[in-house]
Amino acid sequence: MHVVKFPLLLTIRNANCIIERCQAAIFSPDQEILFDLSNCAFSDPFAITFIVGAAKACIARGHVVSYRPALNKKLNEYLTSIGFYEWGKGRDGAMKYAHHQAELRHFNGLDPTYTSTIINVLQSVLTMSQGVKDSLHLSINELMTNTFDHSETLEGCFVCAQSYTERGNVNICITDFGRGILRALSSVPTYAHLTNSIDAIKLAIEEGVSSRVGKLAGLGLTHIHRFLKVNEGEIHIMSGDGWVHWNYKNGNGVAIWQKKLRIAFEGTIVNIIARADGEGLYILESEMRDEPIF
Amino acid sequence: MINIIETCGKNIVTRDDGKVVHDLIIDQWNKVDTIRIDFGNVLVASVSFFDEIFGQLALEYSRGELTKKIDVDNIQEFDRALLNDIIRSRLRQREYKTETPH
Repeated sequence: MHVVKFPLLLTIRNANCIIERCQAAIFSPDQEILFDLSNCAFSDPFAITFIVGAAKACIARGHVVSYRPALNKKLNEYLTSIGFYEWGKGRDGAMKYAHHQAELRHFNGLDPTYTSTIINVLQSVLTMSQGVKDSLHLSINELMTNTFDHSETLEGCFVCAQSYTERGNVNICITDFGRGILRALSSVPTYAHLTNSIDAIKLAIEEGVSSRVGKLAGLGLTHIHRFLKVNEGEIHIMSGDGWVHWNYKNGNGVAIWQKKLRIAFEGTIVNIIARADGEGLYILESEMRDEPIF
Repeated sequence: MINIIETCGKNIVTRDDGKVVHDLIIDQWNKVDTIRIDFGNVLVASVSFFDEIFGQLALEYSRGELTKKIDVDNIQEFDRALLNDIIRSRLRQREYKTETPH
């Protein structure tokens, strides 16, 4: 049996460790995989989506997946409530994708009603302005559409959202195990020169950049960035072996941080952290600079 | 007139949804003076949907030509701002392409 032992904090700061251990499980020669969360005390949406995605990838490769639950009561209750332990449960590999809660979902196609549901869940515990709600609605729709348009994965994507009352922010993560941004962009002649994931990630947020040949695209991430800039939020994008973090906190412009992951993975992770009290809405900024067209 | 609710129902999110409306606009472009698009006050909030409808048009036609040909009615303010932002993005792209020799 291959045991995947996770660290105390299942957060994006520990991404290298989490990705490395999950990748080792996916490609393990052992048939049985045990995801051991017994030592974990906290988990963010990045870790939740990546681990359930890894569990699904394990099952797709013929592994049998089981979990050792978190001993931390609060975390265990939370993971149970969102159906985390249901992913891969059952030695027949049967999986329960549907769940009555909105915090963790898996999609094989776009579900417009989900976006509203997840916003409702978030606002039930956190006061958000209409502008923030609308922008988050837009961001989730766009990121999900990107996944189905670009990643060429049949496995769909995993979405998780959490609100943190004390921190006053909302964290949404969308993870897919598709071909990744570098492979998607470099398949287009215009971007064939791209050779590393960090350059590809940074290019992907620019207006009009897309892997959709002969079709319009490439506005999704651009608009999300504009929203986060005004909202003074953050976004992490990981793909292949690249990890880029844009931080618009404190209104001092953007701090861009980039690094190579210790181990590459197939897919893309987009992790958004938006301030719940950030009234600014990027579209209002654009309205101010020009007369409306329509 | 194109009624979004009657034409699309709840399918107002993806690019494929938007292409249905875009094709209707193209079909009517040379047949009528003004194409009225009624959004029925439904909240769309999708870049993909709006971009597929209007993005290609903004790459082909000027701002003046678009506003002369198309009327947008009963659209939510959020969507109106989003729509304007998308069209501006594509108009900028069009200007850039025109200025940049290939």
